[in-house]
Amino acid sequence: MNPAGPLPSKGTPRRRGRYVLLVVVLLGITLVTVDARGGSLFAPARDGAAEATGPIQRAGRWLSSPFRSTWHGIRDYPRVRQENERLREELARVRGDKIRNRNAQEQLTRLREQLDIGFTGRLRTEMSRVTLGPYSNFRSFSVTIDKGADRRLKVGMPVVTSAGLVGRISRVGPTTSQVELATSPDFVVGVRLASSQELGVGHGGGEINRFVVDKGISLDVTVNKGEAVLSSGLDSAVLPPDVPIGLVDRVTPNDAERSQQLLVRYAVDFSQLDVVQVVRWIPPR
Amino acid sequence: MRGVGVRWAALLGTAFVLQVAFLGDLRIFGVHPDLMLLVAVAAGLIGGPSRGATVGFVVGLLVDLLLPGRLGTSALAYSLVGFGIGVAGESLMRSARWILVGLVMAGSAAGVVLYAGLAHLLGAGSLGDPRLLQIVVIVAVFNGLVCLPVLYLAQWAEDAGPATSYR
Repeated sequence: MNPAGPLPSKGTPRRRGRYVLLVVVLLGITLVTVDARGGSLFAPARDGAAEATGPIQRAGRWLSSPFRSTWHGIRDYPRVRQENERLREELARVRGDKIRNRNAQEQLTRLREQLDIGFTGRLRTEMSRVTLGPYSNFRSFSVTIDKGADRRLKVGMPVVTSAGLVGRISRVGPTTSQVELATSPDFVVGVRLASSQELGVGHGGGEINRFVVDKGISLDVTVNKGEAVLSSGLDSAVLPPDVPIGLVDRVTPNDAERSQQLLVRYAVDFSQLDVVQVVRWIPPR
Repeated sequence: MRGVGVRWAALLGTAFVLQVAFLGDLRIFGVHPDLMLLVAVAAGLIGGPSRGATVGFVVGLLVDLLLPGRLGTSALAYSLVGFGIGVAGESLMRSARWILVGLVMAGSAAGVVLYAGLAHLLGAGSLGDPRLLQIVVIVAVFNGLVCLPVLYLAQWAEDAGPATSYR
C-alpha cells in the first residue's frame, strides 16, 4: 500500500464546507425539533424502515447462524458446562420436591379461585416475534415486533410472555409495532403486592435493571424479599389486573416520605426476548 | 458529479444492509460495531469537510430511522464528526496508514461521545450510561481495524478514476 494516502484536495473551499455544515446542522435541529413536538410526521418513515429492515435482519441471521452457533459454542462452553451441572442438581432437587408440590398445587388452585388471578386467561392474545432488538448500543428500552395494524394491534396494548410483563405497544405500523419495555424509566404503572394487596406506583428502573416501586407502600406494611408484584388494574390503569411484574429484591424504608421503596427483579429476562404475546386489551380512557 | 452520488448511494446502501443484517447482531461485550459511523468518518477523510458533513447526515438519518430516540440526533452527530474529520484530514501534512487509522479511531470515538451527548441533552441520559467508555473503545477499535477497505471504497466513490492508493 502506498502510504501517500488520498486525503481530500486542498482546493476544496473552506467556505463551502462551512456552508454545507450550517445547512445540515439546521436540518438536523429542525428534524429533532419537529420530532420532539410529538408530531407523527416521521412515523411512516420509521414504520417503513422497520418493515424493510426486518427481512434483511432475518436473512442476515439465517446466513450467519452457522458462524454464530460455532462462535457461541466456543465462547459459552465453560458456562454451558457449569449450567448443565447446576441444572442436574436442580432437577434432582425438583424430583425430590414432586410430592410436596402436588399439595402446593392444590393450595394454589384454591387461592387462584379466591383471588381470581386472571393474567391473560380471559383476554385474547396475539402471538408475535421480536424482529428488531434494541439497535442502539445505548439502552433504548424498546423492541420491534412483527405484528401491526394488519392484526388490529393498537397503541397501549400490553405485551407479555408466560413469565410476566414485557411492556406495552408504543407505536403501530402496518405490519410491525414498537414495544416500550417495562425497563424504561418512562414506563409508569400501578402495582399491587400479592400477599398484602397493598397498592403502589412503580416505574422501570432503566440502567439498574430493576422495577422501582417508590410510591404508595407505607412503612407499616411488611414486605418480604421474594414477594410477587402484580399490576393493580385499577380504574384508568395502563395494564389489566394481575399481570406479574416480578419479585421484590430489596426493600428500602424512606422515613422522610413515610414509605418504602421496593426494587423488583423482573419476571421476564429481557435479554432473551423472542416470542411474546400481545394482550388485546386497551387502557380505558 | 452524478456518478459520485450514485457510487456514494451504493456504498451507503451496502453499509446499511451489512450493518442491519450482520453487525447489529455481532455483539462484542454487548456492543455492536458501527459501520455507518465509519462510513461518515471515511467520507470526511477522503472527500473533505463538505462530503463528510453530507454523507454523515444521510448515514445518521438512516440510523435514526432504526432508533426510538429523537429523529435527527445521529444525523447531527455524524455530520459534525464527518465535517470535523474532514477538516483534520485537510490539515495533515502527510497521510501515513497509521495516521489514517488513528484519525478513524479518534473520529469514531468522537462520534459515539457526540451522539451520547446530544441524546443526553434530549433527555435520553446516554452520557450517564455506565457502558459509555466500553462502547467508545469497542466502536473505535473495530472501526480502526476495518477502516482500510472502507477508505478504499470511499475513495472509489469519491473519485471516478481508478483508486490506487489503498491497493
